[in-house]
Parts: sequence; C-alpha cells; structure tokens
Amino acid sequence: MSQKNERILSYLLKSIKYPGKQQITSCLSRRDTSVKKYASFKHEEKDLTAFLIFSTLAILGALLTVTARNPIYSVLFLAMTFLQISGLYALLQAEFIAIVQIAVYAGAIMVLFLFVVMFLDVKEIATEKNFHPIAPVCLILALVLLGEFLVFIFYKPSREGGLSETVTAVGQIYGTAENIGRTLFSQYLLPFEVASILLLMAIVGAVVLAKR
Amino acid sequence: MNLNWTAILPEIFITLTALGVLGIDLFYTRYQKDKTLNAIVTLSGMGIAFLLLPFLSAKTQIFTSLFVLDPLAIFFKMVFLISGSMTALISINYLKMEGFDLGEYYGVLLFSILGMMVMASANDFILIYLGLELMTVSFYVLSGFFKTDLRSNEAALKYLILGGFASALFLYGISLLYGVTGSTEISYIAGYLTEQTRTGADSVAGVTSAVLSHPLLSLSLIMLLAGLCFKVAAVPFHMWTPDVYEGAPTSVTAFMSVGPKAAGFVVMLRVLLVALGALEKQWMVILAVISILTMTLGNIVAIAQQNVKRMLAYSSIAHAGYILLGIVASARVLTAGSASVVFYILSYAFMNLGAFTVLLALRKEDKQTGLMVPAMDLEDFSGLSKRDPLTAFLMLIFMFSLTGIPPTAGFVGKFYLFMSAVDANLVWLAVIGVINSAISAYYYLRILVYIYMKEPKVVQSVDNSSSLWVALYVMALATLLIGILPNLLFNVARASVVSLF
Amino acid sequence: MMNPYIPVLILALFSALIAGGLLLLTSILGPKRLTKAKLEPFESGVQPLQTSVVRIPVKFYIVAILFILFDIEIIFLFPWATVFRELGVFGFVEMIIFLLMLVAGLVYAWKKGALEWE
Repeated sequence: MSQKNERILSYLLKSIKYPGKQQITSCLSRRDTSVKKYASFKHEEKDLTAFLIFSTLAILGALLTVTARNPIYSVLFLAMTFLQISGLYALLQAEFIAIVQIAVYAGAIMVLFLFVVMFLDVKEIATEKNFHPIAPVCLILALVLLGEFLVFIFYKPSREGGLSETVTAVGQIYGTAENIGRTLFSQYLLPFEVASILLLMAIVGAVVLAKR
Repeated sequence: MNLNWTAILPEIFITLTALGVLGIDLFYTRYQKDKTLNAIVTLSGMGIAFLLLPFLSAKTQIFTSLFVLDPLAIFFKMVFLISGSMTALISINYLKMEGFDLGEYYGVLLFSILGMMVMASANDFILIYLGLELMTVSFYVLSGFFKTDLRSNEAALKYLILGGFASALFLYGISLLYGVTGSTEISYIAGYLTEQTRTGADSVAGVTSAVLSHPLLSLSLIMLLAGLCFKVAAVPFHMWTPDVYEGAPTSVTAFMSVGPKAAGFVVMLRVLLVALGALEKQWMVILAVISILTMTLGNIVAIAQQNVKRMLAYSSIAHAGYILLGIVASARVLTAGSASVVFYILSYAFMNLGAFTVLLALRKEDKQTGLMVPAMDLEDFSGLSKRDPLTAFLMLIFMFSLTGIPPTAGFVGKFYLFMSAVDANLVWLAVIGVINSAISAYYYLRILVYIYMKEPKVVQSVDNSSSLWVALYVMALATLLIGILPNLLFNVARASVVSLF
Repeated sequence: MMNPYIPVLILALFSALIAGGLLLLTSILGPKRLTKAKLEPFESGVQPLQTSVVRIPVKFYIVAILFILFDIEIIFLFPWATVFRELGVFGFVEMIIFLLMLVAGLVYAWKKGALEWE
C-alpha cells in the first residue's frame, strides 16, 4: 500500500505540468493559514439563532410536505423549505447560491411541481391513504441513518489534528456573484460549457418526450 | 492559463456532430425520406473523433488540470466510440421497423457518448458529475424513446427516479469528500490523502492519521460507491436494471449495458485507485462483498428468466460483478488488476453488444395480428439454426464468449481477471468467480440448446439490413480476434493503465 | 457594521405584516352575513359547473421545463455580468459559446413546434 502511495506522490511531484504540485507541497502551510482565517472569522451568537430558526422551519416544512393530504399544500410547504434552505446558504456566506435557490427552486421548480400536480388528478391523491404499509420499515431505516449522522457529527478524533484542521473556512466574499464568476469563467470553464450542453440536451429530451 | 484545445478536439467534434444531426432534422427534413442521413453524419462524426484520438498527445492536462487526456482516457473513449457507432448501425433499420425513426435519436446518442467521454477524461469531481449527468439524462430520453410503448415509458420513469437518487448520493459523497480534503480535484485529493498516510505512519506505528480514520471520509466513500454501483448496475443497486433493460428499445438496451457501465468503471478506476487509493483497505472489503453478491445474484436470477432480454439484463449484472472482482484485485496488484479490468470491459463491449444485436435482429410473427414483432422469449429462438444458420452461429460465438469458452474474448478476459485475483492472493474470490461462470454456462448454453436442438415454434425472420450485418460481423470478428490474439490488446490495456499511477 | 441582511429581514417582515394584516383586518372589519349567495365563488355570476381543479394538457409541461432551462441560463449570466470587464474578450467568447448552445436549443424547440399552441 505504502509503495503505491509513494508512487502516486512521486508521480504528482514529478510531473512538471501538474499545477497542483505547489498545492501539495504547500498543503500543510495553506491549511494553517486557513485555520487562522477561521479563527478570525468567528461565528457569532446571532448566527446560531438564525441557523436554529432556519433549520427548524426547514425541517418543519419538509415534514409538512410529506404529511399534507392536499398535494398543493405539499408543494407550498416545499417552497417554504426551499426558502429556509436559502437562508441557510446565506448564513454560510454563499449569497449567490442563496439567490439561485430562491430564483430556481422556489421559483421555477415550484412552478413545475404545481404543473405536475395539476397533470394528475388531485382529488384522488388527496383522498388516498398517506402511509404505505412499509412505512415503519422506512422509518427504522431513516432513524438508523439519522443515528449514523449523529455519530459523524459528534465524532471526536482520538488524536490531535482532526478535521477541524482541514475544514476550509471561507471568507466574507467567498460566495458572492463576482467571486463565483471569477472562478467559474477561469478555473471551471470546461464544466460551465458542459453544463450548456447538458441544458441543450435537456431541451431536446423534453421536446422529444413530451411532444406528440 | 494553459489552454491546449487540441486535447478536447474529439469532444468538440462530437458536440458539433450532434448539433449537425439536430440541424439536419430541423432544416433538411423535407428532402429526405428517412433518417439514414442523420445516421451517416453520426457515424462519420464518431469515426473522425475516433481517428483523431491516437494523434492527440497523451498525458495532457488542460483547463487547470480538470481535464486529463492520458492513455486510459483515450482507450475508454475508443471503447465508447466503437460501441456508440455499433449502436448507431444497428439502430437504423430497427427504428424504422418500430416506427420511431426520429433524427433526435442520433443526436441524443451522441450527447450520451459525449458525457461518457467527459467522464473518461475528468480529473475533477465536478466534471465527472457533469459528464455523468449528461450521459444519464441522455439515457432517460433514449430509454423512453418509444413513446407509445407503455413499458418504454415505465423504463424511462424508473430510470429517471432511481438514477436521480443515485446521482444525488454521488453528489453528496463529492461534497463530503470536498469537506474533508478541501478539493474536488482527483490528483489533489490523492496527494493530500497520501500525505496524511505518511504523517500517520511517521508518528505512531499502526495508527493512521486522524483524517484517514475519520468517519466522514468513509461516509463519502460509501456514497460515491453507491452512486457508481448504481451506474454499473451492481447489487444492491441493481433493482432498476431488469425493468429498464426490458422496457427500453433493444438498441438502447444494448448500448446501455455497455456504455454507462464502461464509463462507470473508468470513473471507479480513477476515484478508487487514484483519489481514494489511501483508503484501499476500506473499499476493498466493500467491493469484494458487492462483487460476490453481484456475480451470484445476477447469475442465479438469470437462470429463472424466460425472456431473453431480461436474462441478458441479469447477465450484464453478473458481468459487472466480474469486473468489480478485477477492481478489488487491483487494490493489491495495481497494473495487472486494472489492465485486466480495462481488457475485460472492451471484450464485454463487443460480446454483449453482439448478443443484444442478435436479439434485436430476430423477429417473430405475432399469432393474433400476423405482424412481425420483436422476439423476446426463449421459445422464439427455437430452431433458429434451421431457418438461419449464420445468425445462429453468430449467437453461438457471443454466448460462448459471455460464458467464457475459448477461443473467444470472454474466455481471455475472464482468465486475466481471475489470474489477477490469484496474483493478489484472493484465490477464494477467483474461485467464486469461476463457480459463477459455471453457473452462467447453464443459461447461456440453454439458448444454444433452443437454437440448435429444438424445432421452430414460431415463424421467425431475421433483419437483413446491411448496416446491422456490418455491425454484427465486426462484433463477431472482434470477439474471435481478441480471443485468438489477446496479447496485442492486453499490452495496450496495460499501457493505458500504467499512466494512472 | 450593519448586517447586510437586515434590509432583507425588514422586507420579509413588512410583506408578512401586510399579507397577515390585511387578512386580519378583513376578518375583523368585514360584516359576517353568510348567506348561500355570499358563499358562491362568483357572486351574481355564472354557477360553477364543476370544481376548478382539472387536468391540464401536457403542453404546459414543455413550456414549464423550457422556462426552467432558460431560467438556469439567466442564472449563469449573473456572475458573468458582474466580472464581465475583468474577464475581457475571453470571457465574452465563453459566454457566447454557452449562449449559442442554448439558442440552438431554442431554435430546436421552436422549429419542432413545441412553442405552438395548436
């Protein structure tokens, strides 16, 4: 194992073209600066309050989405969840994503959801039983998953230097539209163009399938 | 910024061809009787992209190292282009017969190939994800292409919902991995985790670094594996496979059983062997279990199938298990293991496409309507050797190859896979693989029993369009040639994976 | 430094206040004489024949999905526009390629008649 890893590392360090070379060699030092940045950017008490409000409402909205008997209500509660998640993004300094969340999800996707609800016969679904017989099994599985996540959240590494060292803290300007523009149109240019092809493909697919 | 545009020339070419095919459909449609022109443009576009590939300088990283063109990427792109052009060839007459001769078919097919090509070259999880989505969205459309056929609709819907779920899991895995390592770039993650291994080894013997043993890393590994196993149809993420394969148009099923699988495996090679190479102890165990389950379940359930299309679907699950076995082995014997994986994927592409093509070509008379409908059941194959000995013989080649009987590609491929497992001290895994091959012989050879030893039950006819037969001959010849002269190709496969490490 | 989200909060509170306040005011101020005629959806109008909830044609779906796709396109334009000068000609070309792809999609949908109503 170590032999192979040595080979990977030596390859990475050897290849001159590889731009991540400096990244790897300066890896630990960069971590240190990020830790310092993290320390300077402390989460304040009111951020926690806002987080609790947003996340509670988001979970409440999600619960109401799956339990509401009328599908239209479900969709509206889903919109509420999306709005709260947008608030969470804003708390994470991801302003642009927060706006996108509202414009695309709470706006466009919701329209699509409402349309789909209207394609189907709403009354039928509203009177149908909400719980499937296998719901208890799903509940148990969901609880197991929740337990796993709790373990991960409260996991403390046995030795010094856990993840806190590697978590990249982000600055105030990280998630602004300018910064995203700068990154997207230089470093992530190719994914951006592939995204345009993906959108084109989606248009073609929608027209092919939905048009008679 | 290092902008070496030549490295993505094949991709650009495929995109332009796809746009051209859509354009022909829009602006040229009143001058043409059928969509043969679209197919010809598609084929020539893929052909030019294919010919471009060997001339591009391998080992180029462009777009700030998001995109890498190493021999592995070139090899897989060739596999995609070959199987894609075979699919286009067999589709021409099939679409006409089924009454869905739409030009978009070829455009969407090209987009799916583009997605796979992006996946093969991606050195960044963002790009992998976009390629994956481009490929899968195309296949949602393709599997629902027969709009009036309810089973085709069901296939598209099932694939869409489950595929979306798997993509979300994969994305979740990426985001967790980003949280742990601080990057989405594969070579950076590899370097970072390797660095962690070293610091861990330096301090206390036997204690790995805190990052490597962190459960978040394991969780992201599991999520990534779940997403990828869905794409390659490995147990327990195989539930969609039989229904989608059965409902989708047969030409699409043929491609779906080869293309996305190969693309999933090339991503798996990059993610597991390079990015998460430091976690090999963890994923080896997981993949070994998945591999055994996949082989066994695929083969055993395939025995019970009367519908040949469904049987081939389960057989493709089983083959994913064999390939996973090779990936497990490559955790210990890097080059030999991954070379056998790459080799097997190419052999599998030819033999599986071939088997599906024979299924697609065979039609039977519907007793009620008197029309010729696609033959699907085992019974429909009975006595084929008397009516059409050539088709029967080609099916014999493909079935022998899928079983792993010499002198076919399947035998050599399995031989290399199992040998690499033995080399990796995983004899028990190789033994399970061999036992599974023996089980699979039952249902593969059962088709041959029907073909050669039974009397015809229904009126059969075989599609005799020249395009389909060109493809069928190419695939049969390739299956035999790889089986007879394996060394040549195996050296290519070995050379392609050496660049990985 | 004032939190930049305070205006957003004020806006949200204000809209909630207006919406909630108007509902509250009507329920307090409005006279409550519930007769049969008052409870009809359209007072003095045509009698409703059935519920307003009907299945709508699938044509709307194409419009909705095209809307989403072009919405996402606009989303990509925002970050580009903010750094447009900085990116220069190169960024312009990038965006033109992106837009051409989507224009191809629009032309496709148009020529295929996906935007026609009958």
